[in-house]
Amino acid sequence: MEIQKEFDSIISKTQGLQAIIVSDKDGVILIQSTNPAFTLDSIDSSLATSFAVACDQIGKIGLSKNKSITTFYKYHQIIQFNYHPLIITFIADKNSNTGYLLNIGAEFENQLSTIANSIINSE
Amino acid sequence: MENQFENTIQKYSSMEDVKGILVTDNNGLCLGCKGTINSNKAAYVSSLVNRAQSISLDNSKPTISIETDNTNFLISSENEIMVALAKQKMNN
Repeated sequence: MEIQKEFDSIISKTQGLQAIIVSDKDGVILIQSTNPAFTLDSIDSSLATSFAVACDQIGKIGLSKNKSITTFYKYHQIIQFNYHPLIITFIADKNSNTGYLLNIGAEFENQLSTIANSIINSE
Repeated sequence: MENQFENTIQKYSSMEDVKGILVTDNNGLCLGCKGTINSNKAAYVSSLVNRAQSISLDNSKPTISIETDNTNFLISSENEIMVALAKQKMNN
């Protein structure tokens, strides 16, 4: 699949980026690409579902629709994009360039629009 | 405090020959920009500074000058804050 190859290429080229996951709001993973040295064992589907809930809550403060949330942890950072009905998750090292990851994540919206539209039409 | 920051950006961006200014943090997140440099460039500015610092002999913060046909870019950093200034190149 073309998009899978592109994700693999982005991971190999981007310093510190460990995983890209495309899922729906229920946490069902559609596309996933990870650095071979990184395991996703400790991350379950609640990552996407809790993001969907957080987006709903943040939307209530009146600053229009939430686009992304960046979370910093002790060793990692997680950047999640809300491209309804898809959720894109980047898992990266804490020292990775957050601005760059936000830039490449923003470019995904058009590329994934075909998948997003087909999900919307099937609902 | 935010006003002071914005006034400083305004002050430098309105200087003669200055085409744009951008302020970013260590994570490549744009703190402020004005002129021809847009916020998407913040990632590249912070990355350039971090790369330049990694080749510095004493790990000191670098000042970077990039020269193109029409523009001179000056990038400086202090306390994990980086400033990039785009200046019109003199034609003489």
